[in-house]
Amino acid sequence: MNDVLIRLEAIKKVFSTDELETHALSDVHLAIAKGEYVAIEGPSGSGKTTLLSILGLLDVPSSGTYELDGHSIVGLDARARARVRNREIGFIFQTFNLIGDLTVRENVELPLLYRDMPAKERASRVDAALERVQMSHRKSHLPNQLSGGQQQRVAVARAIAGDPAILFADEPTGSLDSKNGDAVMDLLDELHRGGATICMVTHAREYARRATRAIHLFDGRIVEDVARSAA
Amino acid sequence: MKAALDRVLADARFSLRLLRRTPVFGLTLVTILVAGIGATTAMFSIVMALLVRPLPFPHPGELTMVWTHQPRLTETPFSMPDFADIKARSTTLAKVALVEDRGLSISGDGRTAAVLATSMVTGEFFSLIDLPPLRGRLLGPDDDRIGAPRSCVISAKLWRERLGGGDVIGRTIVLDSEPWTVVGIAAEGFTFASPRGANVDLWVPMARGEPLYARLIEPSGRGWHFASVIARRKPGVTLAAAQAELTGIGQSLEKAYPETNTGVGFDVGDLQDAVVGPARSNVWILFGAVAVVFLVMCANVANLLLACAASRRAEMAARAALGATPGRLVAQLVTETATIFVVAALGGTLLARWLVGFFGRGIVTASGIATTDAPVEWTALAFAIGIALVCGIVAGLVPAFEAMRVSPQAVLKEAGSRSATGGLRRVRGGLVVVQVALAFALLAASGSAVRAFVKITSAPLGIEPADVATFSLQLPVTRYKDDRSPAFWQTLVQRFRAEPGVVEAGAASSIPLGHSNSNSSFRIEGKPEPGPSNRPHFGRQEVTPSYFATMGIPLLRGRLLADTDVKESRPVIVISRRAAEQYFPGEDALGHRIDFGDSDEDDGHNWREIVGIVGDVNHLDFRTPVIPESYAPVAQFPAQRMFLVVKTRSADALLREAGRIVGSIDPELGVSSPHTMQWRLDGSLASQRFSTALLAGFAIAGLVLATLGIFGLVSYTTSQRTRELGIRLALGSPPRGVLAVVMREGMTLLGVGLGVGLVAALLVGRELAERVREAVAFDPLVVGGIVGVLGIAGTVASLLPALRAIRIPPAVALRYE
Repeated sequence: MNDVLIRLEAIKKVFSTDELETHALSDVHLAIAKGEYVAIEGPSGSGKTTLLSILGLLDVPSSGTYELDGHSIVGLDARARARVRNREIGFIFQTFNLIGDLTVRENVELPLLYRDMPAKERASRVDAALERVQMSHRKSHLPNQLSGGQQQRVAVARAIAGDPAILFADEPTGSLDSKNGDAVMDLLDELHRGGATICMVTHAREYARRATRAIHLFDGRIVEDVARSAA
Repeated sequence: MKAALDRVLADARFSLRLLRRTPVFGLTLVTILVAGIGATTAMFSIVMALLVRPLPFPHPGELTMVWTHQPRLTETPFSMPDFADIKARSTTLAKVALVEDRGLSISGDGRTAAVLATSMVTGEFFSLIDLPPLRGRLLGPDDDRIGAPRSCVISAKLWRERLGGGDVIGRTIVLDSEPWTVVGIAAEGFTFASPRGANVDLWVPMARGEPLYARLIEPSGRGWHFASVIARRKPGVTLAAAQAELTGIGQSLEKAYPETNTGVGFDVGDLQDAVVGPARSNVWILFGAVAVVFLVMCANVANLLLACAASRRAEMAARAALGATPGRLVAQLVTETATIFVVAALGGTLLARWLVGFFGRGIVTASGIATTDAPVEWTALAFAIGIALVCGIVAGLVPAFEAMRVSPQAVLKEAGSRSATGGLRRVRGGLVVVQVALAFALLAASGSAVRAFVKITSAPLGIEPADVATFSLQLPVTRYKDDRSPAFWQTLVQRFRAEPGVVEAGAASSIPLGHSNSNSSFRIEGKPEPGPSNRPHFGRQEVTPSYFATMGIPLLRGRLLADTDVKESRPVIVISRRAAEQYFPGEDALGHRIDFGDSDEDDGHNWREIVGIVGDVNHLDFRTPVIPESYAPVAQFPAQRMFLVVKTRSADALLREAGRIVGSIDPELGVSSPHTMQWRLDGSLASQRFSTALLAGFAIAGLVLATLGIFGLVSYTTSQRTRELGIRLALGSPPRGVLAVVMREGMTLLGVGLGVGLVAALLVGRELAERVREAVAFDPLVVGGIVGVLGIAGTVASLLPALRAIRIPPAVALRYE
């Protein structure tokens, strides 16, 4: 398939302590095509977040292969992985993970700074991203001056400002009330309609149903992988 | 009441559990507190004992030191006629005494002859001090006259250790081959005679002990400055009033005796200042240093407790949510802090007791101070603990006040997802800046002191001290008249030369660092008489010809003294290079003749020809510049007291045998001051070496504390920012970007601290330059070195947490709470 963006083969992840080996992921095979909207579901401890961390290059698998847009990711050093994360991946976290000492504008600008992008281009990208999530009017505020929903919209703006190949969202509505949760999910839908590839971990069935594909994890293995039409 | 006690005990138990749970934190905190409290209390106790607490004599504020000053010389000894004039004319001084320190050999008691530290005192000495005797009576004016029975007072130590501690009053002892009667034992622990006379064992009347007394009291003795004067002012008389009166007396004596007293005057000072004088600067410098270390310690403790406080916000909020009142939270934290401080106070007290002895011995021994009694000052201990406790409680209470200020729900909600509050971080940052700045100032002071010390010790002494044994001998004038003493010294030198292992032996009336010097003014034949106050003068030694070879003093021109330079031959003298350059500029000093003005005939001259020029020798110590010196043959100028110098394969072994060898020639002679030349060298530097080492120790403590401060703060804030760093990594920051973010905080604090420290170092340097010889106010090498050392220490302290931060996988960092 020419449009495969991510390909995982036989991925394992083992956490070891002195007395115990925990198999967080076992023999995971997964391919995600460009433009897909994937929801990863499963009970607590099923390996959802571990899988997302490996997909997002925040963690490395114990074994297996990982290709992103046709390039092998396994064996990259920390510097190269950081570069890939910065240019190809956007993250949206459950707890927003905005930096408290930076303003909204500075938070959104942060990944662009790591690309050594010229200031003018940074400014226009930041403005565009904030415009897209309707947070332009709060660009000088600090995160603690915003509501949870607003903070998550800023986090989405930060994730899309660099125009990544794929967006990873880890329980993006987990810290929000239903109204704000709906708004954030509407935003993701809109991004998907605009062509973005999204991979989301969620507990919420109603939000998972918005994805075009659902992967169910249990005990570190993919036990169900179904395509569905978008809601 | 019981419930309250239970609560306190529960809090104390919880505090100890916290310390056990975080042993490194607890151990660091307690160690810093113990060191700070102990060192500060010890130095404060020494300051109190030496500088603040009065001398242990009745009405100590009235005790006065009197010196003469002469042209180009200050704080010089008194002549007997000058002393007699002051005693007779002064109306501001109630009592005046003349004191001369020397050694008398005790023998004839069945034990090896030994030299006793002796003070010859005039009649009013003991009534001036005003301490009652332990046994018998003290010396008075009746004892101090020609023809009076030979009476002496002994110290309680001599009484017990040498004389057996029995009934000694009225007993006869043999001193320098003469019988003396013990009339009293001085007060327990009293060993004082003058600022230079510490640890005295024996006091004898000047009129009976000084062999030259009859000549010294004659008008011709006015030029012989040989003894110290102490006095007691009348009640209510100030030092200024006494000074004004003595200035007047000095001026009248100058008019009456222009030949001897032109340019001679009198200066008064507090006796305690004179006693402490040499150590005063060192004590204050060290006290200042320890106070700075204490401040650094307080800042460090506050920082550690603030770090602890910040990490306990959630715990405090949880307690508040569970119903703890603000008062209850405060009580818990006060109990916790107090528990730590009780442990630290116990340790600090023990350390202070030990350090008082350690510091005291170093300062006292090195400075030769008579007052060695320095107990731990409990007020100082309470003060140090109090300050540290206040600082600890203020820092320790922060979480309680935070819990009162912020709603518990808000704190609990944000737990794990936020960093320290901005205000707290700023306070902690400020404390680190203070620590770095103070450490900078301390390092600058110690660096400057070390450089000064190196400069002083690298100055040439002019001799070769290796393997040279030295000791002194005093010949009793009753058995060794002037015509016999030269032969004795010659025999003694020959006797030592014959000992196995001896390379060379010689004798001199004074040796470098022997604390016995003689100066004389002189006239140069054929040159105009410059007047009494402008006459040239130099240090004066009578020596055997072999003295130069023994001490390694090089001949530069002419010849050395020879065995043929005897009484009957032409009087000759050898002078130092400095003397030749200073008094014979642009001409050859050899062949010139000089006269000390000591001819027995009125208006007669005793011309001595300069036959040689030798290298310069620093006779006094490293602290004073080299002065012109002269060396006359002892065969032509007899001396009763001489130092033997013996170059041998084992100086220590020879010193052990010195008493026996001398006894083989005259069994009634005891040797005194037996030391190797190297020991004298080390001793002359002991005070400065000790102070410099201690200052360096304090500075290193300051450096370590400041480095710990930076490390602690950066480590703590880094751990608080772990999640933020994870976000940055997740967003694609390269590792070095995170490294820079972490290090920026430490480096900023370091930079500000160095800036403030530089200003502080300049101020400290200016003070130090006034108090320490050879110290300079601004030493670019020292300051550059400190910036380097602190810079490296601070960078490493920032780098370690930063490296740790980038090793945490982003996925872990993002989950960090």
